[in-house]
Amino acid sequence: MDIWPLILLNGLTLGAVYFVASSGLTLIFGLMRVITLAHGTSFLFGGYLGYVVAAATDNWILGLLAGLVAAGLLGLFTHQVLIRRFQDDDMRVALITLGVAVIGTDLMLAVFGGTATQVPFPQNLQVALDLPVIGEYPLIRLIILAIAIVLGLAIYFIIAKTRFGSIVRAGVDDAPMTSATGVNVRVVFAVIFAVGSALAGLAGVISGTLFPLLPGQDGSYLLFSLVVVIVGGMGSIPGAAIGSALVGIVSQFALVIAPTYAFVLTFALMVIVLAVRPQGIMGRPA
Amino acid sequence: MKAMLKKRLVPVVAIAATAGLILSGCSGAGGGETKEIKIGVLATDKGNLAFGMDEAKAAIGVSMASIGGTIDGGEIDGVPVTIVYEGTDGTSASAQTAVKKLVENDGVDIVFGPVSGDEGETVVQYALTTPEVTYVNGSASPVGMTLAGATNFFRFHGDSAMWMGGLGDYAYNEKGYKKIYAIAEDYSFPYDNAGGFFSEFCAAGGDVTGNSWVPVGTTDYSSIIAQIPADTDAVYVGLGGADAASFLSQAVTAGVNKPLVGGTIAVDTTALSGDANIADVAAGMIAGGPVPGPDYDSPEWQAFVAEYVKQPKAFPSPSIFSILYYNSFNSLLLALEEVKGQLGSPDQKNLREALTALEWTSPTGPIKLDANRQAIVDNFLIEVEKGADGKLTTKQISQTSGVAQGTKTYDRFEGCPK
Repeated sequence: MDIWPLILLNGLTLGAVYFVASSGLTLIFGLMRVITLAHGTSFLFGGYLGYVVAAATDNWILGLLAGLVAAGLLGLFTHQVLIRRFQDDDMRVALITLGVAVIGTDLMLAVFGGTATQVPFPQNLQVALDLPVIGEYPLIRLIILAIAIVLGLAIYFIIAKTRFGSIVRAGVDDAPMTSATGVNVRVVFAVIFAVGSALAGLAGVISGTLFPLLPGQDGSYLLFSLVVVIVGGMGSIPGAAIGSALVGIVSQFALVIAPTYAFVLTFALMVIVLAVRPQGIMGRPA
Repeated sequence: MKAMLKKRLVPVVAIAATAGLILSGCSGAGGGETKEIKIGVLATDKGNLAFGMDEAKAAIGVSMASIGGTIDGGEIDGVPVTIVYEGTDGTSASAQTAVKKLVENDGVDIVFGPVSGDEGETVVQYALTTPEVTYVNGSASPVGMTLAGATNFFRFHGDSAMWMGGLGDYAYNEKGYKKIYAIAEDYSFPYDNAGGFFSEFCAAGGDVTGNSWVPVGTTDYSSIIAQIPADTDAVYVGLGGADAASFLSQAVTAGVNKPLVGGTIAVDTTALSGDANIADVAAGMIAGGPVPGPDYDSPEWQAFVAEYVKQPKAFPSPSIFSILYYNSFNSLLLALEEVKGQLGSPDQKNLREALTALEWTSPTGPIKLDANRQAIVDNFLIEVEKGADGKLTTKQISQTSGVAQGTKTYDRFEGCPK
């Protein structure tokens, strides 16, 4: 069958969208160990804002930035105003962010309605490239794959190699000790939370370019991001990359081989990984 | 210790007894007159049909305005009517939860809805266990719903196989499609909708080059599109709402150049009104269903459209969902007016007799019920075309009057339906 390479590439490009969304969650949930259930809300909010800006200005890049900034601000607000005081109390944080998610879902339904909207992107990008082996392939999906790869490398580099990254890792491992060395750990956490939400917002715009934006996607992307973070290993950027690629590829192959079980197989992947390697593929044992 | 337990038991028993009294008071409209009518509405507000609730409210708003009421209620011959709403996500599970809440917690007399096929089948099964409540369907259309033997369940619109009547012949003979690839959502409504189309298409001599039954809510169709064989004349799109919009926009970017045949809800304002650039693939798409083309000019239709567009959050033109919800709710309202708000007993006898005997001219033609409390209605074949302004619109190909239900139900099928 000559469609398999194509399906594989489809899986990778879909995985690219999952990666951008879940890299944000792996920072907040995996690294900071803050359980946020409002990640999907940031995703959909960013997507809708990106849609509004891209449609108004006719500029896709501005739309991407708008989604990124809007979701980042939403994240900053959620963290600073709502959960900062309870950051170590998992149950409260989970409930507060769940509240944000429920309220956000209904507000967005009220404002943006129940029909599907799609982020407009330039006409000259709506073309197919002729790739070897695969044949014609939509350029926009390749652009999004490229964005995800660049973004992944950048985040990995910042967390693993820079001074800011080492402060983050130190802050997560031992907040009081890091504080004692003169670092303002609260600011570090606020930045990470905002960046994580901003990535979700960016993912919303990217996803809204390839697929429609509609109510309910906040929930499904939160779920997919959790699966990716758990499969890949909490807090690991390479893990999130591997996890999203796996989830993307499995869901595309499942859609072709056994469409009825496409969703089930995606979660079966998580079950298998958890059974064989409970800390996730790239995770450190807790 | 024992004494203490007994002491504690007393208030508990008292509360339980009171609750029991209240509950029985609610449901047992005993023998007397009806003092209040409570209608519980089921509609989708999440998932790929998330616009369902707004459309339901628009339809109910138009209907209730005719008696001077609002979407929250009104009055019929001095009997106050209250309407409560419960949102679902289009799945059986959420419909089950919502209908139980309406009946068991809110104590409604009449359940109105739901939107989606699987939801409808669930509600019918629940209706069988609650004979004291009357159910009027919203837009759920699997064939089997009115064949399940629930005498308290009424459907005032066609089923999804009836909607496809005539389209299979038209596709084969007029359009000349000999081989069709089928893409449809994997649940009860598309089974019957596609079953109705393909049984006729195959009988005419057509062939099916493959079937993709995709999960509802699938957003990435790239790998499904890749499977369409080259020797296919047309593609059947049995998708609805956001799924249809997704598929159509990806069909453009993936360069699908085959003509399309639409399932009933694929060629609808809910799928075509999005702002994705789908005109290239959607133009020329044919479909069958209960929605007439824009040139349809019965006075009832014109009056409905004029009122519909005034509703909050209405689409530029009514969707299939608002039309079905309107026809169904207005049927209920006419029957309630007929019995002057007195539901009757036992089991709301007056209301049910009035519903059964009801005949009226709806915006989409005359409606009356058959022996299974299933409507006999008019049906339309339409084709999508690009309007002068470049926007998508539809053109009516034909209208069939007095279409009655068949008894064949369909399940998921490979190739032609058995």
